[in-house]
Parts: sequence; C-alpha cells; structure tokens
Amino acid sequence: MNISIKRAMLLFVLLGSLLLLPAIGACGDDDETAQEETAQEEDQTPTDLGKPVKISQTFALTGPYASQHKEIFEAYEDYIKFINDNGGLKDTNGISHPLEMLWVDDKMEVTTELSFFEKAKADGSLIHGSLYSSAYGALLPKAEKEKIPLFCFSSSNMVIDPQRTGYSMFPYYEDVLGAYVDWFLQTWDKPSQPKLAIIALDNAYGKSALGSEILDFIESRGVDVVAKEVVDAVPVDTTANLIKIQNADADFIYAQVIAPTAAVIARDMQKLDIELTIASPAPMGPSALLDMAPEACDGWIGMLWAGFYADDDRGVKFMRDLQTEYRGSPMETDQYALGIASVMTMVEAVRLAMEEVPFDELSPEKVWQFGINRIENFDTEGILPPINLGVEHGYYGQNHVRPVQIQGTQIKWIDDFIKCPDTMAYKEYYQTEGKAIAEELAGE
Amino acid sequence: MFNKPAGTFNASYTKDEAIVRTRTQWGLLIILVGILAVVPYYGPLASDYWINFLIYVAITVISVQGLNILTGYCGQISLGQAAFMAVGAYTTAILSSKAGWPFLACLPMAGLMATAVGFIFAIPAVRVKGFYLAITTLAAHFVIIYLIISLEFTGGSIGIYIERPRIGSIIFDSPQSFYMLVIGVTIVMTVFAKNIVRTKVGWAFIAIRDNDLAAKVMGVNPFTYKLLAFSISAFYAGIAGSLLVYHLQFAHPEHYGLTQAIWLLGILIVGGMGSINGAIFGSIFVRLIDEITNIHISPALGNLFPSLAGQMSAALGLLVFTAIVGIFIIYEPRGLSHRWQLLKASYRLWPFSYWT
Amino acid sequence: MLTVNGVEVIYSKVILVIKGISFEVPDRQIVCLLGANGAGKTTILKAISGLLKAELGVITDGHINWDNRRIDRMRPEEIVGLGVVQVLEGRRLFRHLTTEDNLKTGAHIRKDHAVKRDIDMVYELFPRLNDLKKRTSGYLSGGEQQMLVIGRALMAKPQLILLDEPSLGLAPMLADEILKKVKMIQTEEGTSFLLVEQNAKATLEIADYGYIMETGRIVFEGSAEQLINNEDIKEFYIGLSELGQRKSYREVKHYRRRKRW
Repeated sequence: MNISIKRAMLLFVLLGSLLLLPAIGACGDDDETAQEETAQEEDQTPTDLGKPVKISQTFALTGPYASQHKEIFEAYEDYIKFINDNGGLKDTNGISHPLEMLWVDDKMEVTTELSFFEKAKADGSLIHGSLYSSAYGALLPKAEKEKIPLFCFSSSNMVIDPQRTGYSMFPYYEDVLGAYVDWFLQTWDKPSQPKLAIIALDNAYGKSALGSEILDFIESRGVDVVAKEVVDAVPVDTTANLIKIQNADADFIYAQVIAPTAAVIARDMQKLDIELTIASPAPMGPSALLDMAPEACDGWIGMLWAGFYADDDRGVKFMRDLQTEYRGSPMETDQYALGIASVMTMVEAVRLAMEEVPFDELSPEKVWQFGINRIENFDTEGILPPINLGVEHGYYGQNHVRPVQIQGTQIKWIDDFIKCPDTMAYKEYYQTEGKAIAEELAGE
Repeated sequence: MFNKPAGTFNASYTKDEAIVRTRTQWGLLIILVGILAVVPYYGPLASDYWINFLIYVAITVISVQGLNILTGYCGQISLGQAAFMAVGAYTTAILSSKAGWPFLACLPMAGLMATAVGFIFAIPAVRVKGFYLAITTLAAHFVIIYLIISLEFTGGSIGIYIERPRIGSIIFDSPQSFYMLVIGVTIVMTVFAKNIVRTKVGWAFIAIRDNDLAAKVMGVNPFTYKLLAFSISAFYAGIAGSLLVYHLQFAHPEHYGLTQAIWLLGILIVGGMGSINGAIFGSIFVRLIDEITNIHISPALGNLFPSLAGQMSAALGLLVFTAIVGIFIIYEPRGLSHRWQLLKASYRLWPFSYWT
Repeated sequence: MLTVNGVEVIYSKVILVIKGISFEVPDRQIVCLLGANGAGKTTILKAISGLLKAELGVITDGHINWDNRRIDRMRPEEIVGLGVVQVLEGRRLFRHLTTEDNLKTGAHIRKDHAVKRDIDMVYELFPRLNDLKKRTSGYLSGGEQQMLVIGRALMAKPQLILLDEPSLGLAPMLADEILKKVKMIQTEEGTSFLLVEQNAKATLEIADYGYIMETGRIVFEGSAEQLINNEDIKEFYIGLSELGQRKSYREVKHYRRRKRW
C-alpha cells in the first residue's frame, strides 16, 4: 500500500513539474501580452480616465516609528483620494489620469526597502519616497544611477552630507538647533554669556545634535554648551542628567529626544523644580507629549515645521477638511501635516512634468527634469513655507521652523516661521561638486 | 538511466568520502551552476527586481552558513551574527571609501576583521553555555553597534557611501555582474563550509554539540574548538557584510539590527541546523516567503481593506515569519534539509518503503 | 601503569566524596572497581580522566601517575593524548552522527593515517556495527550503542580504557557479551582496563584484580580469584549466600565476625 501511495505521489510530482515548466518559461511573455491587452481595453473604454500615474513611497508601519508613519500613510492616502476625486492629473492631451500610490511596510529593513524600490521601478513609478535616512542612503546610489527622483522624510544631516541628489522638504536637525539658539538669543538681555545644555537620544537622530559642526556654530554665536547628556529612548530616570545640567548653571535646554523620553524629562524637571526654557525638534511631537505627561509639560517648546496649532490657518483648514471628508472627523496629528506637505510636493513634480511631456514619454528622468527642477515657490496650502527644489536651490526644499508651545492643555504657535541658519558646510560642497551632478541629471 | 546511489557501492574510502559521488550528482551540479549563471539573463527572473532579490538571498546564505557552523554544528547559539556582519561591512566601507582599496583586498580583510572581533568576543562567550551564552552574544551585538554609532571614523550615525566593487579595471556596475560576483563568492564559501564540516574540525564541532563531556574524553578541547567555531562564523558574517555593503553602496548602523540576527537564527531553524543544504534551503524559503508577503500580499491587502491598511497588513510579514518558525520547531525541528534527506532516501529505496 | 596514591576528592568545596584512595592498574590487565551506588567509583574515574573540573570537583590530596607522569593536573584532552581514555556511563555517543562517523571522532587526537584500518578492526570486533555503519547512531539499540562507545574509545588507540558501567540497562546476555569483548580486547590488543561495575559476578570472571569501594574508601582488595572465593563478598555482592539481607559489606563482615565468636 505504501508503495502505491509513493508511486502516485511521484507521478503527481512529475506531472506537476511537466505542467509547470512551460508555464514558467512563458511567464514573462504572458504578463506583457496581458498588460497590453488590458491597456488596449482601457484605451477603448469611453471614460476620459487614462492609465494610472504611479508614485511610490515606503513606510515603517511595524517597529518604533509605526504610530508616526501611520499618520503619514493616512495623509498620503487622503491626498491621493482628494486628487482623484477632483479629476486626477491631466496630460498634454487633456486626458485625465488617476493617481496611484505603490507602497510597502518595510519594517525598518533596508533590504525590503531596496526590493520595493526595484519593484516600483519595474511597475513604472515616476517618483520615489523613503521615510528615514538609513534606507534613503542605500537607495540614493541606485536612484541616481536610474535617474529616479528620490525624496526623504528624514531631516538627518546625512541626507546632505555629502550633498547628492535626494530631496527633503524639511530643515535639517542641526539647522533647527541653530534656529533655536538664534531664537533664544533674540530675547536674551543679560550681560553674561548664555549657557546651553543639550540632551540627546542615544541613537543616530539624537546624536546629530552633538555633531562637531553644529557645536562650532553654537560657539560662534557666543553661546557656551555646558552639558551634553545622552539618554535612552525610554529612560527610567533622568534626574542625574538634570542635576548635572543644573550644576552647570545652564540657561536653556535643547532636547533632541522623542515623546516618551520627553515625558520622563518633564516629570523629573518638575520634581527638581527646574524652570528653564526647553525645546525639542518636530520628531518629539508636542501633542504626544501632552498626552503622556499633561501635568508636567507646561511651557515645553516644539521647533516644528508643520502642524495643526492655529484655527485660522489656511493649511490647517485644508487638512481638517481632508480628514473630515475621508476619515470622518479631524484628528489633528503632527505627522499628518508633514505627510500632506510631502505628498503634495511629489504630486506637484509629476503634474509639472505632465504639463510638458506627452504621457507616453513620461519617465522618472523626465519628472526630474521637467517636474522637480521647475518647483519654485510651491505653495503647500500654507502648511509649509514656499518650497524650492531646482538645481539652483540645492534640493533644499525649505528651511524654516516655527516654534510652538504647550500652554496648559493647549498647544499654540508662539511665533512665525523662522529661517534656519546654515550651520554646516554642505552648501560649499554643493557649489563645488553636488551642483555638477544635479545639472547633469537635469539635462542642462 | 539514472545511476542510483542505492545501487552504487563505494570500493574505496576516498570514493566514499568524495562530496560528489555519482555521475548523476556531477550532472545535476553542473546543471545547477549553469542555471545560476543563466538566470539573470534569460527566463522569468531576468529583471533588476529578481536579481536584487537573488543577490540578497545569496548574501543571506553566506551569513547563515557561518551561523550554521557555530550554532548548527557546534551547538553554540549566537545573537551576534548581525553585528559581525556590521564589522565586515564597515571594514569594507572604510577601506574602500577612505583608503581606496579594491574589492579583492576589501573582501578578505572584512572577513579577517570580523574574525578578529568575533575572536575577542568569543573568549568570554565560550566559557558559558545556553541561556548565558545567548546573553553574552547579545551584549556583543550591542557593544559593536554602539561603537559604530559613537566612533568618529565609522561615520557615526551618518553612514558611509561607497563605490561599486571593482577588480582591476572591471567595475561591477550592473546588477547582473554584481550577481555573478556574489554567486561566485557564495559557491566558494559553501564549498569551504562543506569541507570544514567534513574534516576532523567538523567532527570536533559535532562532538561538542552532541555531548561536550564525551567530546572531552575523546580528546577534543571544547574551549579551543568553540573559539574556532566563533571565529569561522564571524568570518562568514564579515564576508556577507562586505558583500551587503557593496550591494547597498552605503553603510549605516541601522542596517544591522538585532532583528537581523534573529532572522538569521530563524532561517537556520527552518532550513535545518547542522546541514549545509539546510542553510541554502532556509535562506531561499524564508526570504521568498518574506518577500512575497511584504512586497506583494501586504500592500494588496491594505488596498483591499483600506481601513485596516495601517494595522492588519502591516505586521503580516513578521507574523508569517513567526508562524513559519513556530511550525518548523513543532513539526519539523530538523528543518527543510531533513525533508530533503527523507525525499532522497525514499528515491533511493524506491520501490521499497524502508531500510531493513 | 596507572597508580592512584592517596587521592581525596571534594565537590563544590564542601562534599568529601573520595577519602584517600590508593590503587594501581598494571599494564595489560583488567582491574575492576566494585561497590554500591554512591561509593565514588565514577568520581575516581573522572579524577583520572580529568573531567572532575567540569563538575566542580577538585583533587585536594594525593596524586595520580600514569607511566611515571603526574596526570592529576592535566586537562582531559592532554590525558587522552597520553593514551588514557574514558568511556562514560550512559552510552554518550554523538547521536546525530552515523556509526562510522562516531568511530571517526574517536580518532580525533591521532595524527597518523591508519584510521581506516582501525575502523575495520572495530568492525571485526563488533560485526554488528559493520552492518549498521551508515545508521544514525541515535537509532541503535542499547547494546549496539555500548559496543559503539567502546569501539569509539578504541579508535584513540588507548593503552588504558576507563570503562564506566558498560552493562547498565542491558539485558544480562548482552552485558555478558560486552564483557567478553572487553576480555578479547585486552588479550588481543593488550589494552588495560579499569572497569567500574555493579555486576560483580560477571565482572570478576574477566578481571585480573579487584577493589571493593564503599563510601569513598577501598575496603577490600585482591585478585579476582580471591574475591570470588571470599565468603563475605560472595554473600553481599555475588549473592551466593542465603543471608544476603545485609545493608553493606561492612555490616556483612561484622555479622560474620559476630557469628564466628
């Protein structure tokens, strides 16, 4: 009996592989013909919607950034729905094309990111976005080689050091710290030299606040950095660090941390009765801090570049409308605003390219030449200051921050957009080498 | 007519010990190498996307082969493999970008540097067993990654860009050429691993794994051989790290997380510990499943159920991986390679069912 | 020749297990150590082969000499190199390896190339193993496994084998067969044995000399013949007397003395 079962199985496997072989062999051709057929069908359909225009973006929906990236993901989804509901993107012949987003959850794994990049490339994505710097770094060489415009969400200095041809719409962390120092000095009226204490998270993001260039810059502004404290992402206790800062007689603090860290610091500061000006950059998220430590975080300043913190703001109204329409109710999360600004800019680049280039000739390279290089003073419904991405601007979307403060249970903008100082030497690099690469890619 | 191993009797020990024993096996081997060489140019896998995937699988195979020697053969669990890959990757990145070393100098140097670092961490690690060993290697992981972030010459949190590998005047610029390079190294490393485990050293590893007291009375010094296993394993990790960094053209500490080390262990379990074939089967199987879930199924599910996109589909890749490892631990703890052996055995015995 | 001279062993710094033992194993002889459980027989074997350290045991007094070299401070693999090989209790083979591969691991310390010939020699000695040479050793029966571990020890070309309870858990027939093979190895290869056993009768049939151990001390010694013919031993270990109710050798002796009075 065993023998007969075995024979049957062997026969089955043999037959199966015989059937599979031609299928595998013909696989590639089948796909193409199938695609052509569907394409023809689509052309023949009487609707005025053409083939979809594709953009691609990765998210890390698993892992430490999951909650932030989910907000960004929702922003991308909502904005793309908004575009499609308003007729999609028109090509040179006036035919509308729906917008489609290819996306993946990369689980913070660079290899998934790379694999998805190759798939998006094969599927005809015109512009690619990545959310954090370690993945961006691995994609950039490929993107440059294939001439695919690459956006990065990260504000880490590695995006610009060395300056290559990726894009970020957000000010770099070092520059934000520089802006904070300048902003604080505006109100400094004592004769003594102001003393700054830096608290940095023990990872790449945190430690960018302790780079030598930014420290030199702070010194050049006449500010003394008296304490450099490195803490864990979710520390048990920061009392020791804060006592050190107290003993160093610091006048103001900058905490390059995330919200859970900030919550611990805020409580410990309350315990030790330290009342110093303290600020964090956007990744900290003041709304998250307010959730975690509502009793202790009063007065904490966020150096943000987009958010929901004024009712009369044009951008805030736009985002609220989007959320009400597609999510049922406005949710008002910080990262959502960043996501909208980012996807808006990417879509704008595609739209500009479609104005100039016939649909059949559209390619990532054309989007680069005719889209990105023509983004000048692009208005993101007031969410960010005007964005400039052309060769002349060194791919530096915009470099403004806007301070926000937790006041009781409210978060409020407390100043207008401030232009960040250039704290690092990358601009020089761009003028010497980066621009040459950029011009070559721009076909000028 | 097939030349069945069941009907082939080895007249001499030399013949018995050869890796490839029958003409059929030689034939299959040549066909396999032929297929590997042709894949990037013809057939369904001849696209940048699949070549990129195959390169990654091949790099995984190298790293898992190393871990297999340490964990599969010598029985010492290690969570430090990803960190040793980072050592290899950074050695390559620094030598290549700052000193301009060519590929053929960087690759062995990466292996040797990882070996040296592995050796240093192995000295305390080989004195402890089981759970304590896992913790010790975990510490090795965190120390290495911490040093990479904190030191100046490693580029810290910024990372290092490197150029495409070159040998002499040949630059491995296209995915196809780099694929050939990686596959070549993978074959060499696999044959090397096969040879290590066939020799006296390999017997000593197995002896320590199966019963270290009995190994001692056989005259095996567990301390020396565990050190050796750690060093060999780190060498493999270094080579894999070097190839990975050439593939990514960028070195960053976040690429070598603890999850990577756990993935490698999971692949080893699925493939089958203590089997050279197992490392290959496991790498292909797990990476393929992961690739399909992440790149194809997960976003599709997300688009199908938009309200769940962020939650349900997101963790799918990890869930599938965990489920696979769990299923293998319960139902086939000896992994795919054991399945393969059973298949081979039944083919040899056919039409009979059992050995008598 | 192996000489053990006044050896004292303490485990974990507190438990005194061996309380000053002296004995010797002359070349080409089978010497057996008999005694009840917990007498310290296995401990003394481990003291000789250098495995004590792995179990936190320390030789605190006395010394062990092998061919006039002190070996009690050496590491296990050095001792193996000198030709003293222990066969551990409980048939510890490398269960994922085949029979033949197990034998090959036995030759680990050897540098010569006559390994194949010795494998054949082991097969000749244990024909059953020849039939099973490609079988994974974990699937062998208990007796086959015991043959394999002895065969594996032979592969190291030892001059002295420390054999720990080879008949443990085996059917009496099989146990006898194993002991016969031991005798055969001794006569044919000239290997000496230090044999630890519970089965005193069968052991004394093949042994040249024997020691009786009790709670860490040697309480009686003599040639195999003397031991077999000793009434006390007969009664307590070999079970030839109808009075076999006593709890220990010592008690038996006292009882006898009393009776004589």
